[in-house]
Amino acid sequence: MKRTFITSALAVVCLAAFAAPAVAGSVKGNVMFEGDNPGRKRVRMDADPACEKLHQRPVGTEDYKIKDTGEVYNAFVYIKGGDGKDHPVPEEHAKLNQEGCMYDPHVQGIRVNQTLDIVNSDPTMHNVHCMATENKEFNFGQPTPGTREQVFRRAENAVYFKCDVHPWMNAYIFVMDHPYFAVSEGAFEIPNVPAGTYTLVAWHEKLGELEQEITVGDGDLEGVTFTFTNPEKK
Amino acid sequence: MTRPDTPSPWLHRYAVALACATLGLVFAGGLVTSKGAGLAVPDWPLSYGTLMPEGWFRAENVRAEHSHRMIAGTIGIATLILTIWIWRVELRRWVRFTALGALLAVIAQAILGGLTVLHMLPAPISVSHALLGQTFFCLTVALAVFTSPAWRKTPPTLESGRGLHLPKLCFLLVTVIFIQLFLGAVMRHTESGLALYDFPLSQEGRLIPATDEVALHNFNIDREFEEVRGERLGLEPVTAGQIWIHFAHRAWAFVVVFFALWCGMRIFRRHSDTAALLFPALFIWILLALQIMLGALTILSFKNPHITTAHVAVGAAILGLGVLLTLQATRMVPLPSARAPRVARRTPASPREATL
Repeated sequence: MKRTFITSALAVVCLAAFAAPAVAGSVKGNVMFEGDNPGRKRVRMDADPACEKLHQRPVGTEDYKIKDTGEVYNAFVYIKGGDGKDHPVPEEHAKLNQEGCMYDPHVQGIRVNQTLDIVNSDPTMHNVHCMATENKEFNFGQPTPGTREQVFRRAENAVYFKCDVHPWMNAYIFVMDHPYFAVSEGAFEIPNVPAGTYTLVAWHEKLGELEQEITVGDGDLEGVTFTFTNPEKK
Repeated sequence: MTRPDTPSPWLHRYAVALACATLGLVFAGGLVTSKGAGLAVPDWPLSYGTLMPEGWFRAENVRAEHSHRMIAGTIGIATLILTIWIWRVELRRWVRFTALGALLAVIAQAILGGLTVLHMLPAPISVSHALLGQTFFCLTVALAVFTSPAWRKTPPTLESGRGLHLPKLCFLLVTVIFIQLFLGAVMRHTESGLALYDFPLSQEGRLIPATDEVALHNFNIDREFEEVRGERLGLEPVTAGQIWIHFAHRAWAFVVVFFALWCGMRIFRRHSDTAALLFPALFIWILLALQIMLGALTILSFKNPHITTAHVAVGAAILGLGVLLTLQATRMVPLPSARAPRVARRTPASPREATL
């Protein structure tokens, strides 16, 4: 009886140890820019008076959204290849909103097979042209406010969205098969990364791509910095 | 069916009006591409699920695309009317079949237009749509010519003289113009219209662009960061292929000018008293000068949509004049074999006969 009890207890402890996840932490850091900030261009919305009326102040493009302190917005930071394991698809819907005749968010990551709600929140017609290459390209009209659902079945980086009615509108969506990604607002944080060594990538639509190797151990990994610079002529 | 010997003059006037309206359609269609509005209406044959989407005229790109469809539909119906009219009244069978060809072309053009929207503007279909549109325009010009009262009269017979037979020269001119339109369409539908943004030189002080890896890398940096009028250019990077497509269009313009000058000089020297040849040749020269200026302005304005589209439309007008000139020249200048027959020379049966 005693032997049975000890054996059972040992089995439970072994099982618990085996099933427990490896220690995980957040990867925190910053995406910075050094050099001459190219600056945002003013978006001209005169092609659709309904769009002009939606803004009291000038609107800038989202491409070079860089603070004076050098913090870069809209950089997509992700772990290349994830952790190699399967992850459940979130039930929560992702959202791509068309508001003020701009796509919001400009850059985001969603999961393979996660439902994306494409929303027209404007009192004008939009069309949503997704120029996917690994997934099916699509183009549909949204003449009135409403929502349309879309699902991407394959992982794909930097899927480009544009609106053929409003040429200045664009967005990028990364379709990921793991949850280890974030979009920078200067700083970024990727939570719950299992311990291990990874290649961390920072992608920017204009500034290009940077990679670095990171090692996540016990607790959070902080101070990871990507620094983009002006392209240099050869 | 009894057809009149001479149809009503209104038939010719209607054909002329259709040709002019078709040139307007070329402009309307060109404007869609110039504004990047090709997919502003994402469905076909309906527009946003209806014949007339609500508020279509408010947003510029939807207005461009939807009005293009409406104009095209009207031209299609007008072509059908012309074809039926010609079949009912025209004695000349080849004119009837030309009209039928025009009708088939406009139907094919509508189908190509739909396909290019439904397949999201693949370059081969978009280029074919552009070229078929120009071809259809040529057919409407031909119908306007064939139904004219002057075409029913016996034309003067002109001598071509030494050198290349005039109708062949005119046909060569039309061919080189069509090639230029093809290059222009390929340029527009491969996003190569601003692959080179200097004029008259090509790129950073060079006449011939450099597209090796280093030059291309540096050029694309300039495209993004060079400042013009205090604002960063922000042009998308281009490939070597796009640069060469653009350059081919610029270079071929010299070929067009060469043939236009050759053809025009031939007509001015030998047929300056024949208005049917002189005026088309003269207008080709005038429009060619305008076309070169519009091409320059297209670049210097960084592809202002209206200037760019005017460049497309004037190109079509030059092509139409070339077709008119070729038809007139073919009618008036017979082929060398159709001239006075040569006296046959009999081979002598014997040397004695040869000395008599």
